[in-house]
Amino acid sequence: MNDERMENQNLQPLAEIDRVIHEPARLLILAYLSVVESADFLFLMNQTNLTRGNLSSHLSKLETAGYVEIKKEFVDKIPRTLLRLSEKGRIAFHEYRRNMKQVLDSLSE
Amino acid sequence: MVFAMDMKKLKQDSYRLIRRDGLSDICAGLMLAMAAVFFFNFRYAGALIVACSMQTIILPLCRKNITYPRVGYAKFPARADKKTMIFWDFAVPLIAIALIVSIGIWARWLLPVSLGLLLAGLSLAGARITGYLRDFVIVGLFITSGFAGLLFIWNGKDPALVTAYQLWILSVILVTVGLVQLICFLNKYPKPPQEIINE
Repeated sequence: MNDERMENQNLQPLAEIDRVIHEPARLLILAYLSVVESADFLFLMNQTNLTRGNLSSHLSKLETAGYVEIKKEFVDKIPRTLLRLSEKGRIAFHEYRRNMKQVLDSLSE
Repeated sequence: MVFAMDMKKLKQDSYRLIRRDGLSDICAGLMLAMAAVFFFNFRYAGALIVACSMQTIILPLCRKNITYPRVGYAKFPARADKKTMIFWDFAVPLIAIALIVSIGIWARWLLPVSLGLLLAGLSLAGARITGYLRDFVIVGLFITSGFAGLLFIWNGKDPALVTAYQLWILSVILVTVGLVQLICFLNKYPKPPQEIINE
């Protein structure tokens, strides 16, 4: 009974895993955005190797969750979309990493 | 795959994508060529100003027109704090210039070595960020060129002239390496359709 409770406690972070971030493509997007201050769509497309449509749909999901801020601006009359990790997204990403680490550490060989 | 994700490597990959264009090597090479003009004849001090503009004006302009439309734009986080920024952007170049000028006045024979070591130090910082072997080879080349210059001075050549030739040779190497990279970059990354750039 005690063992069971302990095991449940160890796997508690598993229930707290953020499903929005847990998708590999979205995780990669967030990871790349966490190492830069801001980046445009083309940069992320090159780094993640995702197709235009795929990247676009993942970005909308991340934007809906409030993890990514999308800012449209004009540079020399050319439109440019700059993407950056929001404060909420940064916290969620760090939390996700911490939770995943705990889960993976608690899994015995 | 995902859990083996190394954040340091992701950061390095991001730097590498932008640096793959070879433009920084070309600009650094042209900067050295301009600085060489100054050492060839100290009256051409204006060449140093042109040299400085290479990294601050020409390089960003080239990146804006060549690199960003092909691989995209990324802004990297500013250095940790204001004090560090002031140190690297103002104090280090000032100390370096003062050092080179005083070495030029009091011990001209040390010019090639001091310049070689200074350039090696500056490029080592970039090499450590990208992790490219090529960048570390260039660091080695800067150091070697300094000591090679010293040999010429011991054989009775004028230190300023030796320094000028040292910088010219280094500039030719850097521009060549940069041009090869730029050609590879342009072939590998053609300009994508406008709608993707505008996405």
